[in-house]
Amino acid sequence: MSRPNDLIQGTLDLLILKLVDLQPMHGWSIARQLDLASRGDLQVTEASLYAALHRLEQNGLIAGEWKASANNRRAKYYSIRRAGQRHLEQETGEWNRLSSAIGRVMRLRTITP
Amino acid sequence: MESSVLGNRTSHAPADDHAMSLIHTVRLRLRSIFRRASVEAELYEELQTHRERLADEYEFGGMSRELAELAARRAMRDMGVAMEECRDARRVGMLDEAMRDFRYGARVLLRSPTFTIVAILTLALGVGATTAMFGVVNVVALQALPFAHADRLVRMFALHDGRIVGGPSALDVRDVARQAHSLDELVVYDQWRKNVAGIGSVDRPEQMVIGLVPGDYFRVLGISPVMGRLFSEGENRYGSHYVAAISVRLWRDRFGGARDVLGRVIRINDEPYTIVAVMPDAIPAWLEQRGAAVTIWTPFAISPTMWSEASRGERNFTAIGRLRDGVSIQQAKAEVAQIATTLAAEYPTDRQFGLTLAPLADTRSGSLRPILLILFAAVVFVLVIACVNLANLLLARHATRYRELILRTALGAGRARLARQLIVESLTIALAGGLAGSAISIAATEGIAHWHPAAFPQLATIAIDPRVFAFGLGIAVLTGFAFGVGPAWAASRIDLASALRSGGRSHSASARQQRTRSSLVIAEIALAVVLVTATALLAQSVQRLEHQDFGFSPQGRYRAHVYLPRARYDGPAIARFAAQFGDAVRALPGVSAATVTIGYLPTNARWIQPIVIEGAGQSDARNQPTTYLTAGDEWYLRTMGIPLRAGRDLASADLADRPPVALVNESFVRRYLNGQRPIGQRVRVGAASDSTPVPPTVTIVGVFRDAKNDGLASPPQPQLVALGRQLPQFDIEFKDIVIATNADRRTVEAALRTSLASIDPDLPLAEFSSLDDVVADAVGGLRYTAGLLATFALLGLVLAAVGTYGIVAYGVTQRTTEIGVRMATGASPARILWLIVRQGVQLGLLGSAAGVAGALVAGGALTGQVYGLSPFDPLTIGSVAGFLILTCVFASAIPALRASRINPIEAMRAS
Repeated sequence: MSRPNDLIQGTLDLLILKLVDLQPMHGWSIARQLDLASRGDLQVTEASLYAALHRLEQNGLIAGEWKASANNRRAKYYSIRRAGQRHLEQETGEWNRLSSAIGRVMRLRTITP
Repeated sequence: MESSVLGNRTSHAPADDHAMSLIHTVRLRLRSIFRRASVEAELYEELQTHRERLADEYEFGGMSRELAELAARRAMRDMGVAMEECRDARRVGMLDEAMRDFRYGARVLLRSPTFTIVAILTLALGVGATTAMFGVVNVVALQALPFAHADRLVRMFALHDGRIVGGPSALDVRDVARQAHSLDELVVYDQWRKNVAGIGSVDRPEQMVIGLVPGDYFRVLGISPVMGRLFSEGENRYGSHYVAAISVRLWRDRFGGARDVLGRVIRINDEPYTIVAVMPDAIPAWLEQRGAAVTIWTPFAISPTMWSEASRGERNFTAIGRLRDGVSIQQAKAEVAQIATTLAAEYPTDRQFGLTLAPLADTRSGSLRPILLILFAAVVFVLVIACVNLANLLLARHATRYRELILRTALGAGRARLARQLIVESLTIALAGGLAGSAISIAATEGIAHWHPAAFPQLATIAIDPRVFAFGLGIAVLTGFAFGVGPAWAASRIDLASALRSGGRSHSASARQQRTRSSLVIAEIALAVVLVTATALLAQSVQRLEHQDFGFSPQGRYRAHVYLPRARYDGPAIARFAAQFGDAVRALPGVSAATVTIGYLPTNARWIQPIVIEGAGQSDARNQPTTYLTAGDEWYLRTMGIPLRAGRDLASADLADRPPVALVNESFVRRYLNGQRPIGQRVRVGAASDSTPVPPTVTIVGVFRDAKNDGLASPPQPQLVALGRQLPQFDIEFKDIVIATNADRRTVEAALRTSLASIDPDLPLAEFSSLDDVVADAVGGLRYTAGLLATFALLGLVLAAVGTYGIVAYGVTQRTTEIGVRMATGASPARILWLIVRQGVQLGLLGSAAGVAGALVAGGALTGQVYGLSPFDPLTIGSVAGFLILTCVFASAIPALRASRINPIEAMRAS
């Protein structure tokens, strides 16, 4: 089982920002979406998920708001804030740059002298 | 921001955005602190929602609702962890959690009162002792002097061969004051014992110390009269000097604070002085020559001839001055030294003398300085030992609390929370210890202020000021923090999985921790060895000083001082008085001998006069021989109990008009007579002056055995005893009477007073004491130091013993199973006993070895305080080391006995 500590530090934050950037959601659906989108490869414990959510909220990257959900239960919806969007853009660029760089290395077949 | 991918931190949000999010963050944090209940409720609800959704999902997947909820509950069984991590994420910390940690910490500490009391007491003793000593240092060395611009005040000293030998000559000071540009003001003054009558309602004369000062003296110190005026320049001239200033204390105590005190007349040495001023009690006792506050001042007019060149050689006045603005003490010293050189070139009597300055504040610690350094070092040792014990206590406690910590980690306590909790506990102990220590230091300070030897008047003013209090609490918190953080950090790094696997026991066997604790105890023992050695050395010094052969016998000897006012006593009258008084006292019942003299043994015979031995050739000025002069009567040796070695004693037949004769001691013969026969040798005594152009010559008629005449610690100096009646220029108005008697003290004093009154009812008898008291006072400073040091050493010793006991006892607890197995396999109780005691012996051996090294280093610092034995005395150091090893054996014997009584079956079952 993939423990939260095994996730690259900060990656969970990035994924959460990405999801709430698409639309405001509550903790449960974020967990579901992570599970679905990663096809089960990224399992996150409730503890680390909610810790990450509260940390992001505390740092002003996302905002939490209590609203009635579709089935008429109260739930805390998280939406992205300006600072969060800025952070997401930055980190996404960074991530893309890094992953393509790593990909290029991994695709190497011969070493050019 | 924590969420940078792979640690590449880039964060450049625009300023307004940043400010916005800052406000947002602060708002959220404040909410977390002040609306804790609702934040907690929301958190709970949020997670509850999550669980319900999970149950929904399970139900949708085909479970019954009950089963689904059960499954969801199980899946979220670490909800506590989640909540704890969310709290950590919010990092509310500080206010809110500190309060909770503090409450919890207090509860935990109250649950183990023994540990708590020992820890607090240990810290309190260390902090209390250190704070009290800091209070002393603060007053004696740190606090500003109670004068305006006190940092500009300096004191002048006379140098002889580059060494400070006392105060300067008044004429030299006057000349320096005229020439120096680096000093704004420079005044010279003196203090004399005189007979004062007519103070308030009492008309009987009493002896008091009078300050002879120019008006500028008060101006230099920045002191203004409460009433009246300062002495004028003209009043410093002899003949116009019959005015006096009195202190507020004297005004209040003796004149009832009368508003009309100015203009009243008091009689000093039978001459009338008009009170012209009331001065505040602003001059501390340590600044005065005799260490006691002066309450009456008259102008600086000693004699009609005091400003004639003949008086230039009279030194040991006191001079203070004020540096000119912008001039450094070094510049002023250089200028004064330069002026002294020109003075020495001009006046033969100044030839071997120089002048120097010292900041007035630096003269405050004086003779107390080396003692203070020793005591402060000792007290720091005690503090270190106390801290080591505290650290060991905390380490041991964390080890025994390991299971609790694991449990709390398992229950979801964040690492930060755990560490914080432990630090808060340490700080709670530190604060309690600091407060208790402050209470101890206040008590100790009161004690020192009330009970201290007369040699250290500086100590009378010590008090706890805010700086001292802050110091005490500061070191308490600092030590609590320093010794709490290490264990807390170690404890917070619990590896839950492996800890649980080993059943929470692996930690207790940590060899590394045991080694750390052992080396701390070894350090304690070493410090205790140093402390006890220093105490033993000083205590032996006191013993040896007091019980050495003085060369005279202080037992059954008493002394008192009489001042003969010049208005009624001059020349032959003084000799007549001495003879009458001596005869009257010798006629008293129970008195075997009595002598009227100047100065007394062993501390007050230092009246130095230059001499010329006839036929020895003219010596150069640098090596001019000098002797201690005693101008007394023929009863001197008999009264002091000093045996005659050669020749004859002085006799009543040596009348005033006969050729002057003298006795000298063995040191005199050894140093000056080069094996010549002393009897019949002629010696010229004293320097030429206007009044005596040719100094008198005495013939040596006898040699007496050396007796201590330069204090108890120094070897006897050359001494010459002559008859006052034969040397009128040395038969001065300060008279000491010494009597040998078997009567008790009270009777002696009363009889002395009666005898004196029968000769002159207006002469007060002053300073009555026994020579035993004089000897005791001479070692008073050292005895006091040894006493304080003994207190610290005892503290250190007890703490080190407790430390040793603690670690050995802990070891026994740790090895209960092992001991059980050993006993089950046939080990005898004696073997078990040795197994444990051996640990104590090892600690003792290692600690003592380190301590001996430390004592050898400390011995260097004690040189000058240790008398009669080497500061590296091997017997002392060896005995102390052995004593400490024994202490360790005893400290480990208690747990060893417990170990030898372990029931092997129970011991093995317990594991």
